[in-house]
Amino acid sequence: MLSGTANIDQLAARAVTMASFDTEPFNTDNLDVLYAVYEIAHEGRDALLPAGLHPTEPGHATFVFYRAHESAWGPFQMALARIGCRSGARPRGFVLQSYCDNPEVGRQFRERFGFRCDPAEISFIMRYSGGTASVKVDGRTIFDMILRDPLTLTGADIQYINSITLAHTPMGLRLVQVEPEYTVHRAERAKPVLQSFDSEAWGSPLLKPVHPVSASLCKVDFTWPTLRFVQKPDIWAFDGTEQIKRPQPA
Amino acid sequence: MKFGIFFELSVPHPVTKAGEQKAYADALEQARLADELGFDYIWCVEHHFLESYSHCAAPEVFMAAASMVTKNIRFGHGGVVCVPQMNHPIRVAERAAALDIVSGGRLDVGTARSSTWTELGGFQADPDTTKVTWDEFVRVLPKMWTQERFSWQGTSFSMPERMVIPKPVQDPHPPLWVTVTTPGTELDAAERGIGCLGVADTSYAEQERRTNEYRRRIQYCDPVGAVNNQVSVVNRLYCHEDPDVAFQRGMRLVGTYGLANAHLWWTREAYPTRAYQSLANLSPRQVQEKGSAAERRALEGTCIGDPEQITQALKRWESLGVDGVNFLVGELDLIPQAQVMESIRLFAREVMPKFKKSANGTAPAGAATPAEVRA
Repeated sequence: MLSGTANIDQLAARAVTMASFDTEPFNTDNLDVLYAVYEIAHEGRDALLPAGLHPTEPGHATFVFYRAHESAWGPFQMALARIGCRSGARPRGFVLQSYCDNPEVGRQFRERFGFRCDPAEISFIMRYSGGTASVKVDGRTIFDMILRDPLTLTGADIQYINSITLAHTPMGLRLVQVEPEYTVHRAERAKPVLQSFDSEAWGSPLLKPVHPVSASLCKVDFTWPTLRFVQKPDIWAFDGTEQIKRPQPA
Repeated sequence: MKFGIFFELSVPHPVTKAGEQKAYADALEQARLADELGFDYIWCVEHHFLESYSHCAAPEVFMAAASMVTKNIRFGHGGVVCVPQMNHPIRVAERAAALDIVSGGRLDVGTARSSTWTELGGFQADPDTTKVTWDEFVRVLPKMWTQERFSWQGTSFSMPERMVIPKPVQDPHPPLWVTVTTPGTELDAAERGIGCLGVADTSYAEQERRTNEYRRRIQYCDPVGAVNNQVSVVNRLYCHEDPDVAFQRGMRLVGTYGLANAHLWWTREAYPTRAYQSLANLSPRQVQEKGSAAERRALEGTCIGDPEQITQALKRWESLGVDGVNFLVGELDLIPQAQVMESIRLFAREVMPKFKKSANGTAPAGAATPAEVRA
């Protein structure tokens, strides 16, 4: 069985801190969502994941963009880079880095879910002819993708893989399982063309997208969850998964 | 009830040439033993690029070798991938006929379309079209085998009139099957009059539903060739007189091998399409390795235990109308070869006779009965 080989201490140094697990679910309705899949260079397949997670063969990354026209904290756009993997038997996307153009939303995702999330200028535009997605940090483009040849699908054709983050939590350094519920209202598949990508800015020079697989462009209602499980990052999920215990109401 | 051994030819990590050679050698030895003991089938998958999980990329070569060291057991593609980037249909027909000749008419041809992005993406195949190409393949194969000269103007391929040779030994042609992973493929099988070769775990209830629906629909099929009205399922086998020993050893086939299956990169996960609607075999239930022995034994229908426990499980599968059970016996070198061979021997001695009909008036082991095959 393949397992991650990343240095846990180095991952921990980049991990954010979650003060508590006491968060309520919240909704972001009618999100525009881009979900692009790329195969990555072999050198990053195992090296980008902690030992508690298992890579696919070949290794792959997912690039996810959200555009919310409204939310409890105002409109926002967000971009994630994740490594496709397994936690135990379950498919997951290990979040290496995310960016958000709304500081308060960025803080919410850091503190509630353990996303490493930094500010950036994000542009995500869906058109009937496809779309574009780009991220700039301090005026420098770190991601630029165009989406071509959209083909209409149904919502049932879309399968989002849940995220897993690494954070310093009240239970220690843990992988945090983020399992939103979603309803897809409009779905298209497109061909992704990555025109610019800065690996360092997305968490590691080993993250090298080499072969496009697919992209979907959707309108989606998301319910972001109350967290239920975490996992120790250095051992597999069957031994390392822990349920988050909360005080029972009196 | 027919019994078979299902070969993935998996190789433990770290993958080495020696590990690959051992996997092939062990499987050939198991095939030879299974033939001697009266098993009905060996089935060989076709997988590509699935590091460790399956190194069976040229199953026709393995089956040809196995046919040389066996006498009665039948061979099945489980199944040949009906995607033009991987196999041209003419080559499928030619190779199958040649294999039928060298094996003395012992070939069954399972068909498939591949479930992982690792494979489809590696061959630059279009997941949207694999059902279409599979459908075309299963319709032309019987024609290539039975028509003296053949021509075709189709969707995924066309050809001017040629004599597709050699022709298979079996008359009219080797039985056709389709591998069934996701619900609904059993209907594809029934509508075309081909066998239903289960390759993913199902519950008793789900298999009963599938089998009943298959039997009902195949009565009204538009057959692509000779009707093959059979349903088989895949299972794990580890048989030992001491049930605790059986579970200790055999559960590796459920846990570790099930986990290896779950770690494959399924097409559904990589490429949104109507053609792949489920995350294939991902099933947390099947990789449960913890809990008490009683809890682990609760994995319904798994043939891991003492002869009596396995008999009971197989009686239940038989009661659901299943015609055959094909066993994974020793993948990933999880169980030492000597123990695998002992398990096969014990099963053949203590369990298999309870499911074999008396010799008078029955078809040879493994061959489809007249009711199962009608031209």
